[in-house]
Amino acid sequence: MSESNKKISLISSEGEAFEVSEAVAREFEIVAHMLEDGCSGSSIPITTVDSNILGKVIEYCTKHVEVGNVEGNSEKAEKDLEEFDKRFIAVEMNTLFSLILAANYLNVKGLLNIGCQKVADTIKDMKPEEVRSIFNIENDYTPAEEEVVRKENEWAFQP
Amino acid sequence: MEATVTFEGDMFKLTTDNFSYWKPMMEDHFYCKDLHEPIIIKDKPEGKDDKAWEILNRKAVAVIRLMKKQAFPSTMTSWGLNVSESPQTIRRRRSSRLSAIDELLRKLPIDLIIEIFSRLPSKSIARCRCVSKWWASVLLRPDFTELFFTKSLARPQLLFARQKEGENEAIFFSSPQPNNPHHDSSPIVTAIRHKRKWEPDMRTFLGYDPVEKQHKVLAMIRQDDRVAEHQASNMVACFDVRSEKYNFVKLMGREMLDATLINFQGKLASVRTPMRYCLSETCTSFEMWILEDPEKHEWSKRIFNLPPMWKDIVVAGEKLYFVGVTATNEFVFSVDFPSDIVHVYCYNFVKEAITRVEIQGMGMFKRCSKLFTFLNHVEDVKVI
Repeated sequence: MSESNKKISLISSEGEAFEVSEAVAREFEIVAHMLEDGCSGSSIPITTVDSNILGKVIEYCTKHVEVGNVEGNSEKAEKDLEEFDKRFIAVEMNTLFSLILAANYLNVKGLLNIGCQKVADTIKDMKPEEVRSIFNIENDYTPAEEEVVRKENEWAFQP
Repeated sequence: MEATVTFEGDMFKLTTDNFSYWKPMMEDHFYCKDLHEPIIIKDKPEGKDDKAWEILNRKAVAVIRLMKKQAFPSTMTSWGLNVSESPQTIRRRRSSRLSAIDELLRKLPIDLIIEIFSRLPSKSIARCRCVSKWWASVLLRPDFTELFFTKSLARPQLLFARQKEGENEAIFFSSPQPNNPHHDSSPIVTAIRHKRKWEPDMRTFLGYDPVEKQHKVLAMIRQDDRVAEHQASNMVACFDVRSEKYNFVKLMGREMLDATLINFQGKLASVRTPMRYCLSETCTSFEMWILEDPEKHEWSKRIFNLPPMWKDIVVAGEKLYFVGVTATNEFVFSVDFPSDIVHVYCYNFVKEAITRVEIQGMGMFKRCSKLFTFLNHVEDVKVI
């Protein structure tokens, strides 16, 4: 019991400390491994993630740990969690990419999954011009090259 | 959510999503430090010396720079800050803001980028190849096309081809393959549209060699109204996609001729119904001959008795043709000349459950346009 009440400090790239329960910290697989390997210090530096993003990742993990601990009524809990995920991931593009990068580094699989899916859902029905504009991608095709590649993929532009 | 902020002394730094907190705090800070003029006055106030005005502006800009996080270029263009900077500085700032997402995208490890793209349907992949050369190169990488194919194998789809009357053109639609979780439910599946042309007067079969990872098309051209090379009665002609050789399997009897050939649990099977090829709501059973040993031409017979709910679920008058059997023990049936609503039926012969699925998104059907339905459709972006 005392084990689950243990607090761990996660230190962001700016040196800001976020105190979380061990259960939440263990949602970060990278941290879980550290703890298992006996690096049981009470503060763990997360040097590649800044405070803003680290705070968000902690918010995500805290919610998932909370819901995971509730016994029974699983269908409603699952629905709530789905709703939470949906709201949580509705962020602007560069926050989304930062979250994906952080989830990948910290190995938070659920967050990585919803992040990747969000990007895919965003791109799914877009035209190339729209993709370029939201990702700020420079079109490096010459007009002639673009015509060829468009012709090759013509079927994908039909409604 | 703007809950997480970074403090620096009594100020907090600007990040991508705390601008609404940060801006009023910065304004207060500017007033306290007598730096407010550059943010509230557009042009240099009269009587102010040029040099002093420039220095004041420079100070204000420096404070803003200090109070924003370096990892994220600022969202300052929406500030409307009238700091007189050189045009170059403004351009630099804007371009760094614009390239932020692209930079982040390129920072992602390639396996993550591939993971994201592998979640898209093939139609989106084709469009994304037109975005830029870098995107096209990623979407043609063998590790991407492999992953896409593996994922596609894990989520087989239904493929529909609608032949336009009198035209050598078919419109293709794909939709998720319905599972059969609850009987009697009527889920709705939306089909995605593709359009391809085909060659007339040619019988073509598509095969895939999983060892060499090659798709092969077997095309047969009719000559003198006969199949060119092989014409056999009471026979099934088999073409080995790998070795490209034919062999023949004898049928049990002439009654097996009016039958549909399907893949039943990895074996060739021939299904026969009381109504020649199809079933209706009044049918109660159908028979199947399963090829047990191709070398010895051995077939075994199995009768499938349809459960009583069949007549309640099947729409009266619809003729149901065999499409195939899924890996989850379901016969799939579809209608070849659908009315306005396209139905696909799934009959799970283990659970004895029947589902009717409505397929939407294929437009209104004229009675004369024929619909072909294929099971276990897998997409390979190597060949698009």
